[in-house]
Amino acid sequence: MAKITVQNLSRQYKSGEIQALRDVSFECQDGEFFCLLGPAGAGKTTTVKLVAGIESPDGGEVLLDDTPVTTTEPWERDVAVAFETYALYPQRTVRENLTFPLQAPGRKDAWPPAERDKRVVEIANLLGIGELLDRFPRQLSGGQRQRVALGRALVRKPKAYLLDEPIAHLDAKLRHRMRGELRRIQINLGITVLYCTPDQLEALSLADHLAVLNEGRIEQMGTPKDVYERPANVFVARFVGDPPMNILDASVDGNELVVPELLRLPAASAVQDLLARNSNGKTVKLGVRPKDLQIVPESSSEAQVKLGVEHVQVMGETSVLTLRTDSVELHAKLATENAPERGSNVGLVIDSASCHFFDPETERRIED
Amino acid sequence: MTKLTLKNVWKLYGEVVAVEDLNVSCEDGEFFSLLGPSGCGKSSTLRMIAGLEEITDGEIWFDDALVNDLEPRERNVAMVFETYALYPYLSVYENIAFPLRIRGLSRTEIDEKVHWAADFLGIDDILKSSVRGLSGGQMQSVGIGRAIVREPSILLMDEPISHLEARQRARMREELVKLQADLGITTVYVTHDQVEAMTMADRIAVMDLGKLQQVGTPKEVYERPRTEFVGGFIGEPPMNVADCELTRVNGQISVQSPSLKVALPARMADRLADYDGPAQVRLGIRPESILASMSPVEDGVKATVHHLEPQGERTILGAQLAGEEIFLVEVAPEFEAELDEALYLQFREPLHIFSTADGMNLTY
Repeated sequence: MAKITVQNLSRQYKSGEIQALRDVSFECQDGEFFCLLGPAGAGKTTTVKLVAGIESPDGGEVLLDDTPVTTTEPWERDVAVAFETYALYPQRTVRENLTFPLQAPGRKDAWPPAERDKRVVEIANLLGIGELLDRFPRQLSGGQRQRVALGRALVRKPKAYLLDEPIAHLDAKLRHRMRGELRRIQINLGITVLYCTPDQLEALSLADHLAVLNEGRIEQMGTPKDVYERPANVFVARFVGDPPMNILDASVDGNELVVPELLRLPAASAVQDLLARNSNGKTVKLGVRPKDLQIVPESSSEAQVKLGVEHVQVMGETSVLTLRTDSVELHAKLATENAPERGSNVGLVIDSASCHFFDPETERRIED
Repeated sequence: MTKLTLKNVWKLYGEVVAVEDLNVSCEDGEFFSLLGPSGCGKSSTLRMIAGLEEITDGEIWFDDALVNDLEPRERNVAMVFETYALYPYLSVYENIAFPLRIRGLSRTEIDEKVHWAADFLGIDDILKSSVRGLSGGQMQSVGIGRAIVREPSILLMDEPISHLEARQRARMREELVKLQADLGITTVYVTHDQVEAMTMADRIAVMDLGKLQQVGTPKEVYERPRTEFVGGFIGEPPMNVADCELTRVNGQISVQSPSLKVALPARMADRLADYDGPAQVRLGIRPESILASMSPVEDGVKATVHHLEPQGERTILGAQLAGEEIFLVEVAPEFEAELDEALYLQFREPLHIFSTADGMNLTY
């Protein structure tokens, strides 16, 4: 297994019109499950192509186990890739598609036939496609084809696996199962996986470490816990976590935080100290997750402000409230059994200790 | 303001039954969703309401008017498609104006209505733009503008935001709900995405393989699924369902299998008192209704840790039961466990028992 290092990678398309990657650097440790998380167009697939060697960077280096491979051909890098678009051989059966990477005639890493067949069956069973080995891709559903594509990457034992949204097209139950299986294999065998996804829940649930990518740049790197609990900027704060974190403009007034035309809340002393260190004067961007907005009855004396409930979204066990005033819209998350009626009024309590603070200009987290 | 009623509606394509004996009604001003996987008949149903498809049998009523034989343009419905179907060589203004021009409205009337629709949707600043080069969300807003500008009796939407990127989808969901509430138009919204239906609709009609499975509010279909299909389709993470056998010992009803033995609470025992069907049934339980503990508990179901999915504010634990099934369990974010470690599960209400014959929920 290998460590994957990416240093100052840049890549552009259409003569500079599209900057797919701008000076991206990260390291995926040997045996680690590393996620690249970001919206469509962020540069995740481009990164995979550069690490695999399918494309060359315009700037920067790719290293496997500290050895530069930037000019090494893809087949000599010994990485296995699964893309979201399956690219299966249509005239070959599932078995043949899965066997192909192990055949590599003439190459030193070709497998002996008996071991090949055993491995193919093992991987097929793991992915729940053991009974489809003699079918052709055209006879398979989208979800089954995607599993064959994933199997084709897993069947080898390369230095690292590069998986680009490999389970996007599976139904919910199967996605949970596949995530679980992938993680188990990865942990048990200590394999290095670089995994791309636009789904923040998926990244949080799989990764040892992750990098949040946006418009070709890394916004934050860290463990899922780091990224969820201490988002480095407003983009990460709103991208990780669903519904997105509420962001309000606030100002510091003595020992209170004031959100104009909305509310005042007492600022705990730790919070006051933190904000005193903010270089941009007394205004901040205040972030509070929907689950941290406490909903109390309208008449409660604790309520810092009263708001109208514009909409109640019943997700299942939890519901999301849309609360609105003329100037501000907030989302709150609570148990469905406690959810108020649409059109009613509720009271809101925000505890400054559960708030996140960002510089109003740079939007970066104000750190302690 | 129109009430929509479908009575015994069938749609056959040759021998293929796309919609089977559908009876459903949608109240005046309601946001009503048709939800189901591909091939369930939801789009065929929508197209029959629009008049784009012939009804093989049955009746469709708009208030007191039978519309079976009315052409689409006579029905005063407007449709929004997944693929926008905008006129690529016309401006945003002209796209929205089109349905009014072909009806011969005066220039002033057209101008007034187009501005009203554009203003409503927040796209008045791009009225003069060509539709090419607009973002997906903007294009869909133009499509919706074109639909509402005629002030139709019923608004039909066929997966209008499925292809948009996650955050755009979340934003459009809220905007569409607000739009519909402000306009008060009876709206039928087709989708395969249960999150969309749950978060937007007043009521949802869940369909599978041409048949109506259940109609209810989001809360109802989540808490009291009428069939195993509804139970498994609504809610994320999905409901856990496993084969088991009903047993009765000394008046106590339980379900058991090689993986589990669960005594059913009195409420369920009452419902099953007169049950005389096969003993083979299916137990359904949602991840949030299972308690997991690392230390043995009385009457606990024994399992091992298959995998963990930390999700920030909670963790989903995959628990492998003795019979190899994997049950998803919701645990606290700080719950720590090693792979393959022993685990003990307790099942809490709501529990569901589904028939193996027809998937019906036997206990609601």
